This record gives sequence, structure tokens and C-alpha cells, in this order.
Amino acid sequence: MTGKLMKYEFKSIARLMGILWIALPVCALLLGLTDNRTYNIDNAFFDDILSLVTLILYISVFVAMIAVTTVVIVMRFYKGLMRQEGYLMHTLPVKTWQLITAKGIVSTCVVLISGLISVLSILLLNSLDGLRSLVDVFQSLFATFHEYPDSILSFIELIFFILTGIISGIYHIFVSLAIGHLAKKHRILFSLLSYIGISIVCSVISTKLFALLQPWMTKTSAYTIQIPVANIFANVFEMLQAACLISILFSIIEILIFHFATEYILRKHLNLE
Amino acid sequence: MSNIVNCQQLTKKFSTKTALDHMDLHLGRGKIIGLLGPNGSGKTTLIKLLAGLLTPTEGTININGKPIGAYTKSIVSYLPDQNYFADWMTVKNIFDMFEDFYKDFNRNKALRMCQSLGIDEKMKIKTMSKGTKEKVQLILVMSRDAQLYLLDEPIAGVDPAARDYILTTIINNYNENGTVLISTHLISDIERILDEVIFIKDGIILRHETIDDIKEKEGKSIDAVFREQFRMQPYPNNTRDDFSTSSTYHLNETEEAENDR
Repeated sequence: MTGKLMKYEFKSIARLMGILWIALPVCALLLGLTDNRTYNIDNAFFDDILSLVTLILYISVFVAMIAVTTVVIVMRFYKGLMRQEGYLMHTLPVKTWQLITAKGIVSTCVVLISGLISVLSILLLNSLDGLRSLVDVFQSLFATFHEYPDSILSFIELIFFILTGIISGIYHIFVSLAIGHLAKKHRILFSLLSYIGISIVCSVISTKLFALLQPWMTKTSAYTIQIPVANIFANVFEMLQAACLISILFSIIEILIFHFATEYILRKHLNLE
Repeated sequence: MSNIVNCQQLTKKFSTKTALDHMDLHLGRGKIIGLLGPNGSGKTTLIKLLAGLLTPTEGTININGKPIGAYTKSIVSYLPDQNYFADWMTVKNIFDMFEDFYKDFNRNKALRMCQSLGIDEKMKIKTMSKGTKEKVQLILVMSRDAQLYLLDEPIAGVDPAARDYILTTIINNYNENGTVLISTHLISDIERILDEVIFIKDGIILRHETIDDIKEKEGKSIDAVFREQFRMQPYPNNTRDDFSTSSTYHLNETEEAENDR
């Protein structure tokens, strides 16, 4: 059932996001082509205007994509589960956690696709040479993996760090909207206040946690790398890895708490008035 | 045969207002039941609780012996009092969705109903009139072989011809082993199709009887019984004669004032 829910969630999001996902690389390519043309002194004025227009177009679409991605995540959850569409979604024969999970997975995919397309568009600014440099990046990455097999773990850790960060950010939005739903009036305002409140609590806890674990992080790095502590770069790298691991664990705990809180509120306190 | 719905001490409070007050309700199978009451009596609240869109403040609800959840939603067909479609959807999309989620959805029946109304499968929801959207929702609900149909004000806000269409659609298409609970305050239109009625006021059930029993006891139509039961005292408490007297008085007063001048 979660898969079926995801299918409809994707359909509802795809038509809006799809336009932006196509438009951004096209704008980047246009900008890349106009900027990389051979400079012709006779048409200097028109060339400058053309470059400026394509630049503004690219920046606008870029900003729009970031904004729309955020708005779509918020609105799909809010409208889909707490407004009129909720009359359909909450009467489907599915469990509440499935409704939330489907929205969580689809929202994560949307953020990842938007992120990847943003990177791709930046590469395309250098016209098709940018894509060639992407191939170079991958080649050197695989060469590093081959030479230092341990770096694969670091790479996976980095991927998990990004992924758990995105998911906890999305569930942070979901739980704030669910808490706002508990209010009798001004539900959007309460959602916003919950979002800010949760952000403050999470940042205080994570700061305390890092302060508490700092001695352990330093010690671990000194023991594991088996190189002189004087090698400051290696030491810092290991410390960053330890910090990354703690962040991943912290994000996973956040995701679990946010998910269960959202599920509990929608299952036990749903009030579609 | 056990009841399809059992509610014990069902209570729902909104802030300070009690919408349902310790209600005990038991609905049998294979019946069309009218949930009748004035505006704000708790009809929609009860239906939403049965559909799982609200959670009770106190008490329990069982449908086919199970508490509200994914199972009960699979056997309940709910028609809300508002449009629940996403704008991007076409009729085909929504039929696909119902086919995916409800095992008891009969697509051929839904298509036949659409054809009879001239609704094309490719039509977008956002281009439809309010009335057409309501008809599509009714088609979806009545194309299911559900055990409990919850119809919240299906004939409110439509013209008398459309009312006839809606009621005929309900009678011709519901699963005869299932129960239909229809909330409305337009009793005269619906009376002919009902087996039982529930009179509800201020979140309390005043009467739950079969139509035959009421007619036998009272010798009146359900509409007449309802009007009697829920008669409200107008304010100010004047009759037509009082109004004519007061206007005469007013005229006399005006005449006197003119004479004084």
C-alpha cells in the first residue's frame, strides 16, 4: 500500500516539479552557450544583454526550484493530510504510518532530484565541458577508492550524512505541521512556532552532545589513525569523520522521534473539521 | 446477525462545545437509515467519527466488530459534504486510485454511471462544475460493494431533479447486504427510501425507530413528525395577527403624529 500511495504522491508532484527540473538545465545550457561564445566586438552590446537575460533567467529558475521544492513538501503534507484532500487520504484503507512514510520517501526523492539537478545545472554553465569534468570527478573518485579502500567507507558515511540530514529536515516539517494541527485555531502559526521551537531544542541538544563527546572524538582519532598526532590534517579528517557519525546517529534519532510523534498525533488526534 | 455499527458512550467535544454526548448507537445490516436533525445537531460529527476523520474524546466505535482503522475503512464507503479531489486529477486518475485501494470498487459500474451522466473519463476535476464534482464523488461511493455507506448531506444544495437522480442512484446501486446511513435535514425528499430514522439533537439521539413503527404510532409522515419534534420558537414570539396589530398600532401612531402637526 505504501508503494501505491507513493505512486499517487509522485504523480501529484511530478507535473509541477518536472517543469522546473527540465527548465533549470536548459537555462544553464543557454547561459553556458551564450557565455562561451567567441566574443564579437561588433555585437558586444547585444551579447552583453543576451548574457544578462540568460543569467537572470537561470538564477530565477534556480531560486524558484529551491522555493518550490520547499513549498511542495509543506503543501503536499498540509493539503494532502490536513485539508480537504485529507478526506480522501484518511479514508483509504491504509495505516497512518504508511501515509506519512509515503510522503517522507517522495519528499526525500524530490529534494535529492532537485539537488542533483542543481549540481548538474552548475556544471552545464561551463557548457558541455562541464559534463566532461563530471566524468573526470568520477574517474578520480574511483581511483581514490582503488588506492585507499577505506575511503569508500568515508564516502558512504558522507552519503548517509546528507541523506539522514535531508530526511530529518523533512520530518521536522511534518511533525511541526502535526503539532500545529493540535491547536484549535491559528494552526499554521502554531506549526511555525513548533518548527522554531523544535529547531532550538535540537540545536541545544546537538551542541551539548558534541561538547560532551569532544574528548572521545579526539581520543578516537588519535588511536585509530596510527600516525603521529602531529599530522594535523589527518587528525582533523578523523575528527570530522567522528563528528559525521555522531550527526548521522543524531539525525536518525530525530527522524524516529519526529515520525512517531507525527504518526501518534494523526492517529490519535486527527480532527478534520 | 451482528450489528454493523456499535458505538458505546461516544462523546466528541470541540473546545467548549459538546458535539456528541455519550451516545449509544447500534445499526443493523441491510438497511437505509436516515440521520435526521437540525443544523449543528452532530450529524456530520457522527459520520466523520465513523469514517475515521475525527477521533472520539470518549467512548468506543466498532464497525463490523473492529475499532476504526485500515480494515473498517476498507468496508466503509464515505461521501463527504465537500469536494476531496486534488485539482490535477482526471476522472480516470481517481478511478485508478479507487481500483488500486478498494477491492470492492466496481469500475464498470462507475463507467456506466459516468456515461449516463455524460461525464468523460478524461475530464479534469478542476474544469468541472461543483455539481459535476459532487456527482463524480457519488459515483465513486456507490460503485463500491461496501458494508457501510456513510452519506453526508448527499442532496443538500442541489436542485430537485438532481435530488431524484441522487436518491435513485443510491437505491439502485448500494450493496443490499450493507447499510446506508444518510444524514440530511431535507426529510420530505428522502423519506420514501428510508427503513429507519435516527433523530439527533445537540449530540443526543432522541429517537431511533423504524419508519413503519413511527407511522403506526403517530399516523403522520416523518417530515411532519420531525417538524413537530424540532419546532423552534421564533423570536420575537409573534403570530401573524400580532404583526398586523403592531403595524396597525404603528399606523395609528403615525396618523396621530400627523394630526398633532
